[in-house]
Amino acid sequence: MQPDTKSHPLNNLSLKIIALVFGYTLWTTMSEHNKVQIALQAPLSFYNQAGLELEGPESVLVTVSGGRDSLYQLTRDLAVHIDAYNLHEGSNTIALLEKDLLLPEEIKLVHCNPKTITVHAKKHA
Amino acid sequence: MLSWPTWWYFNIYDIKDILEITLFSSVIYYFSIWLKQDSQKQLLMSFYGYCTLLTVCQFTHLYTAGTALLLFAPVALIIFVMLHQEILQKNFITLHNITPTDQVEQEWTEMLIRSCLIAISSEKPICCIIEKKQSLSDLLIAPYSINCKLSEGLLDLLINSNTFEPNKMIWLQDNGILCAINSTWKRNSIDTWLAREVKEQEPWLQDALFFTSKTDALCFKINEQTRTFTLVAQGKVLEKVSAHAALKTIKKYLGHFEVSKKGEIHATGHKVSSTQQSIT
Repeated sequence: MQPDTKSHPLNNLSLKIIALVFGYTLWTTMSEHNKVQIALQAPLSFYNQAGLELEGPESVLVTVSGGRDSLYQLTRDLAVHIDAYNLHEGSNTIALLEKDLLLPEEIKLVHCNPKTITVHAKKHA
Repeated sequence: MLSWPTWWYFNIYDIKDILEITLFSSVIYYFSIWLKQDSQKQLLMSFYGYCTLLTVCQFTHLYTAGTALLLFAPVALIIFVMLHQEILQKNFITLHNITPTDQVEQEWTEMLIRSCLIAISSEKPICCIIEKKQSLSDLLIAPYSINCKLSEGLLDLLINSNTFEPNKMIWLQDNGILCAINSTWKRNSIDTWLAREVKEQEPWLQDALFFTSKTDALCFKINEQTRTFTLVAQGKVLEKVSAHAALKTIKKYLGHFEVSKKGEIHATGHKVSSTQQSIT
């Protein structure tokens, strides 16, 4: 009969760890150009907001698709950049567009939730 | 979708990615286990070397070299298998519970010992090598191949023939097949492997110690003066053994106490280690 220890999860642990490392490497090599879709919270960043105090949502849920290697860099840097130059005092509705995300060419915006945001602006006292 | 961004640092964005990695790792793990059974050549190390090269290419962004290695991978795997075809195939077959078409005759060990004792009476020192799970065909030179079941009188006839050379070996398999007589080891750079204390031993014992440490074969020789047996297995020697004890040890080592039961192979594997304790 086969001994009980044979099926123990810690048996051949070194072989298992090595197999996991090589398995991950092989998978990375073969999948780096595959297109994937991820959803992540992108913070809102306003520029040209001189003299205005803005109140609105902190972030939006953005779904993007692209190559795995490109997304790896993007996940750290993604933000929605909004030009506050044309905002007037009071309530402003802003439609979020793909260009506001400053995405590289190989990455596409799939979905943005919400599609528009409302920002309250008031002048500094 | 995964909620822990930590995974994203490993380029893992979905549960499907984890499943794929598990699949790749499992295939590599079971292939490694399979290769590890080959103790004659460093096949597992070669495989790991290839994988390491692939890993280095991936993480140092040597894309052309990485792609070339990846494309060459199926060819490399086939080369691994072909290089060690016989040993690997044998190991692979024994993983399955195959019922033999005819009952293996186990009395061949008694016949062998009897023939050896008769031969020693005629002052012919007999040296035998018994192949177990790992093939010896790559390690032995056999000018007279026989490949038939050991039967009553056959070995006596061969030993008494003019072609028989007593200083060479009789090669058998653990199922009682007489492979060849006048067999010798292929001596390719063995000397560099042998320790100084081993070099002081007789030449046949030096070779037996080396090759039994690399394979699961058992080697024995009868002493003409004392009529006792010297058994060598797993790189260990058991000296001055009586014929009865030698027969018992050989049978135990070959696992002849348990036959045609499920899980036989693993049980036999245990017997080897218990015998190992007696071969000191």
